[in-house]
Amino acid sequence: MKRLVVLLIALSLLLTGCGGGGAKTSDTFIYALDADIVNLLPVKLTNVVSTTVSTQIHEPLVKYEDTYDEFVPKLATEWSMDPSGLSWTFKLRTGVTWHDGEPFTSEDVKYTYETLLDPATKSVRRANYQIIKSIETPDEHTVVFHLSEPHGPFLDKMSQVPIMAKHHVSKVGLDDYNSKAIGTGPFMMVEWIPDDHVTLKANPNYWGGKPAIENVIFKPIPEASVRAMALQKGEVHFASGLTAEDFEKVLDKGNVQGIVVDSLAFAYFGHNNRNPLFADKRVRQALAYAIDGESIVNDVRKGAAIVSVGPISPTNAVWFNPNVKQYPYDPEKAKELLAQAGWQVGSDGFLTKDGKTFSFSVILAAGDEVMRNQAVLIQKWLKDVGVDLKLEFLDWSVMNDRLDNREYEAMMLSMTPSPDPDQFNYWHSTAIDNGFNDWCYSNVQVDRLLEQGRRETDPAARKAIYDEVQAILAEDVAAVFLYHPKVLGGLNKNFTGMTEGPAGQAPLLYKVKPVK
Amino acid sequence: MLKYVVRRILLAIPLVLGISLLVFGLMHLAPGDPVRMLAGREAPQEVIDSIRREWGFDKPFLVQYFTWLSKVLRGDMGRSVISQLPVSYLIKSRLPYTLKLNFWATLLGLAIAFPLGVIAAAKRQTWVDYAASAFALVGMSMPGFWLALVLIIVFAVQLNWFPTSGTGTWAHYVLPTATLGFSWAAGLMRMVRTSLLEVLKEDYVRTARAKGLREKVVLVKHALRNALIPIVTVLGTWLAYMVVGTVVIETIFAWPGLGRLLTTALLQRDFFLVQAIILMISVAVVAANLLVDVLYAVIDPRVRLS
Repeated sequence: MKRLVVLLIALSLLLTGCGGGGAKTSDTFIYALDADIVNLLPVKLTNVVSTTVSTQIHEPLVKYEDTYDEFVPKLATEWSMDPSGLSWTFKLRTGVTWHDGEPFTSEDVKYTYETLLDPATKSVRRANYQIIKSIETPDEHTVVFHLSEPHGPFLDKMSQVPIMAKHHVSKVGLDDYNSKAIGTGPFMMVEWIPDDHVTLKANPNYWGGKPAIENVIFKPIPEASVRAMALQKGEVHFASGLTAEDFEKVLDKGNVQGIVVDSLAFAYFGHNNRNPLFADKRVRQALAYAIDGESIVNDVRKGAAIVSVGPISPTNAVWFNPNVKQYPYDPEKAKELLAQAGWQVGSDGFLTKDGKTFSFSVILAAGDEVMRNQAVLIQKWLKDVGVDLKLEFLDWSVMNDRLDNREYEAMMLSMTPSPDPDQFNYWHSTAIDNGFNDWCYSNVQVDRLLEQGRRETDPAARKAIYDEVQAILAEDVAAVFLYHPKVLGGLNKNFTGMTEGPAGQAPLLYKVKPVK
Repeated sequence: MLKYVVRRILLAIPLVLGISLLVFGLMHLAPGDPVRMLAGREAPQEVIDSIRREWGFDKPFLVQYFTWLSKVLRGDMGRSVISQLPVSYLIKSRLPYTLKLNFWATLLGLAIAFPLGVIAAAKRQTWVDYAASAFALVGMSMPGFWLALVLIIVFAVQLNWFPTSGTGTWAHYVLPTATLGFSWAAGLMRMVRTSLLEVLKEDYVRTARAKGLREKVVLVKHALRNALIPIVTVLGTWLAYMVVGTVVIETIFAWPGLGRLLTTALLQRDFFLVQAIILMISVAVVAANLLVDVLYAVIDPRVRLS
């Protein structure tokens, strides 16, 4: 028995021996993530979490920082497009060094984009950059991109690729890069313990000045409610993606300041436009009138959203077009339109036409309470006008398969577009097979405008084009646009400077300061 | 004895192979395409095709299975389809956390279940017994995630004694250990009680009492040892539940263990990772059962004869 006790004590000492706690001083900022990072390699960034961490380490040439109106110079200080629109010249910042002390040059930029474009890299973002024909480096601090055709959203695309170090990446390889990440950014990689934490420390030689916080620890906490409680307790200093209830609770305690960020995302009820059921525009418009977007915003989202009229959020003020057809909640009008389209009320209260009941099902991801609540409301509203909606809750991976194969009558999701209005991948008819056109929306006029808008480089001309696209999408009811969600987060009051905008961009942690 | 053990090990091999084939098949039958999950919905067909080729997903099922198996037997479990990190690295970095958590939870479970079970059996149909049974009932019917959240709200948020989640210090162990330990203690306690009551009816217990031995000695020395056999059996199969049981708990407590890795891998249809983890768990369960069989022989000499 005694031997057993000794053994147990020895074992227990052995077992608790390791574990990596961080210094919890005021210069350490702990940031709660909702999942662990996947891949920090700039050319392989695919998810929000990885981008959040990677962009503290790596920087792109240019970036949106406070607004969408203009690009802020990062690794490039000046840029210009030649009149033909076929080549862009970037002057690079001088005196910038990588975290290992090597100088940053134009070769790094060329290497990054060539790696991205190399089919062997298998970057899923490659298709977006295929307009780049060749890259030239006349000197150490100049890069020239030659394009196959003029491209309006070119700078927007440049803002999405952080630059990586040629000398380093060509040595360590594209796999297993995470814990070896080296960039020019304000923070440097210290360690990554999978599913536990990522630690970064301030880059003392950052060209923009050393950040005010010394360490950043990213902690993946998958449960939203636990994330909120950790924030409330001060175990983490920033957390976002909180539910409306948790958000209120967290603010109640007084040590947390709310950070509400408008997002560029748009949530919709999307009927499959290929389905003959929705071929008549009056039917689509009836759906839009029958669904009460405002009530979803107030009752389901508890105010944490903006009512939507199209795929571009009012937050994106430069490109948003408010002058489009709108569909305020009006069930009577919906019934009228449906009657005009030939639908008669049957004996069971549902509409019928040619012996068929107006009945269809919508697919949505299981496990999302907000989505479920709004689906139930929509089901009720459609029933009010005589339409029978069935709800089909699916596992995310199954949902993806159904979407890819276009096997649905309707689906409910949200999309997060880029700040640039080029939504070719959403609304162009070729994007039904090769893109995100989940609505299977096809309109010759919209196709033509989207093609034009991409090639146009004059902002004023582009504005006119995309205003028209938004107007047509609304008139046509390409989808029933519901709302633009707001992202609810909280910042510990011992810190300031967490910027609230612009939406959809990774946080700028180098601006965060401890309150002394 | 040695022959017995060797025979059991040899029998376990086809069992593990069968499980691996089953797991491989189930992952293929499950809806959801791992390549799509990896490439993202934006990916053009050429990227999808090249990834599919690279991972061998374009080959017939049995070819895929044997390629995978021969690699695993040589110690190469492949790479995660999603993060592209080696599966062995992903598992190795998580395993210690799950083992540590389970070690403490099991210890806690045993520490609660044994004394409680023995007392409940000894004081059968008194208030002690009823209280212990009530504890077991509550413990077994309480869902793990619910208990976890309640413990976080009470002990982490209200009382501020322990951290809500994560790892680092001994304090981080307390809540997840308690959650797991209590759920196991509840079931185990009932097992101990029933098993002991069964044994207490035996003749030799009456004989021991008739000899004038103290009740404590009768209970601990004569009855408990024989009551252990069914309990050890249960502990063996429990090993499987341990990993499964941690799936939810690890996610709630942001514990970087195997259960959480498995959850993420399953949701993302991360083939090789899921297969490797399941295979590992099944090998562990088979090994545990083997160990239990051997332990039988140690605890009960009668087993050795058969």
